Amino acid sequence: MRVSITMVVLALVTATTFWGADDFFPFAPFKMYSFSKELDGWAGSTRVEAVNEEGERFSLTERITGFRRAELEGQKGRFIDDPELLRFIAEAYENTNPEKPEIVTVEIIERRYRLEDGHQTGEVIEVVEATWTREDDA
Amino acid sequence: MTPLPLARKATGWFFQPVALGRVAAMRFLAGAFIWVDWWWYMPWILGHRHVPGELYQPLFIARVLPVFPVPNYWIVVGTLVVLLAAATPMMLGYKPRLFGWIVAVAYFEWMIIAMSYGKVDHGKFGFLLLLFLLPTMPKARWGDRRTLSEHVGWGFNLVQIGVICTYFFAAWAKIRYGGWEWVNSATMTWAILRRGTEFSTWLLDYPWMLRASQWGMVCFELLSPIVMFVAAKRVKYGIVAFFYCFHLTVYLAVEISFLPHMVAMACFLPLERIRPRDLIRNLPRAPGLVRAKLKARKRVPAQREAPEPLPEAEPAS
Repeated sequence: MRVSITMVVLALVTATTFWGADDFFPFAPFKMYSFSKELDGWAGSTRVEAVNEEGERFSLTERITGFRRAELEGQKGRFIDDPELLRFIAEAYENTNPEKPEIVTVEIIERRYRLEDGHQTGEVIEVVEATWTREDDA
Repeated sequence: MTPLPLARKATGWFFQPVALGRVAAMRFLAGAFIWVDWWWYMPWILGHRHVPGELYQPLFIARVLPVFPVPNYWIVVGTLVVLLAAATPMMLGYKPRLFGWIVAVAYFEWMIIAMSYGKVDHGKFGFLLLLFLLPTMPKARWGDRRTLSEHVGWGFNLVQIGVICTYFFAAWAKIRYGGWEWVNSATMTWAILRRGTEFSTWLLDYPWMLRASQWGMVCFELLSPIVMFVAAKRVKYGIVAFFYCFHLTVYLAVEISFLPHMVAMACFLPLERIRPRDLIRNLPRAPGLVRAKLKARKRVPAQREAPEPLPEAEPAS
């Protein structure tokens, strides 16, 4: 009985490693930093910026929204397809900081570093990947 | 029958008796981790209480078992309160089985809250196994080296398998997702660009060193299962110490610490030797005691090593 529990756990871990995806948590491929990064190409770093009612621009960090950068990157495709969803990040910020001025614009920005042969070349570009602006002018 | 000795050997490997004192120590460590987890290690999980349900992306298990609600403010806060309230008695050994089950279930829900927003973290596998196995183990006292249990041996063996799978299969995942060229790729450069520290950013100027570290990591991950089959205690503890050093290095370089994984890994160590009362009582005299112990060890080599259950101990069944 107990040996079979061990075997089942092992089998599930093995199976999800070969065929599974993150979706099968707690059994999942242990893929921390498992992607190959090109030695020549762009290494990207994503962030979210917001503009509030008073025109101040700032970064929407995990600390002030409860929403992590990695989560943003995980759902980035969704946000690019439907920028309207960025409103919920603004909502998370407003729930966390009810006393602060409200947000009118949210942007996803990716900063890309150029690599050549694994070295930074110093070339950096920034791309705005998705934008949402509040429309109700009440 | 000829296959019998092998079968017995396998059973011995699964059920090598472990002293109950280790259970008490592991309960304490698990509870202590839960107490630092929510405000220090992963404070962002609590941050999810403010995130609108529209950004919740249910995992497979939550889609199949409809028992996990879409998190909102009170579900997140409530789960944490239950978790902490149950972790305290478990860690102090009061009704540890009952509270252990509550902790296991609450922590699982806590993980669902953590991992359902577009990012799944890895390296908690061993810790989750530990939480679900601890309540199956009997009530235990610190420093109990006398009472041996095969069930405890089995449980910790499974946790250890989980810990080692985390390494071994991490290498497979790299090959699966990154391909064989992962070892020569710029992954470490990318990691340090994103989260480098003052100890690691200088490495960006030496890409060959980062590549070498990638080779080293894959080699160690593929070799890690060896620790499960090493008989010599010293070698085993040495390998585990190496794992801990690896995590320390990774932490200094990119501030990723896999703390719960390190807690689960502690069950490799003979924690039944720790007696908190004696430790506190002896604290003022500690330097002298350590010196005396080292001297004694030199005088009588290797013999004083055997408070561990002997590997030959026959399974009762």
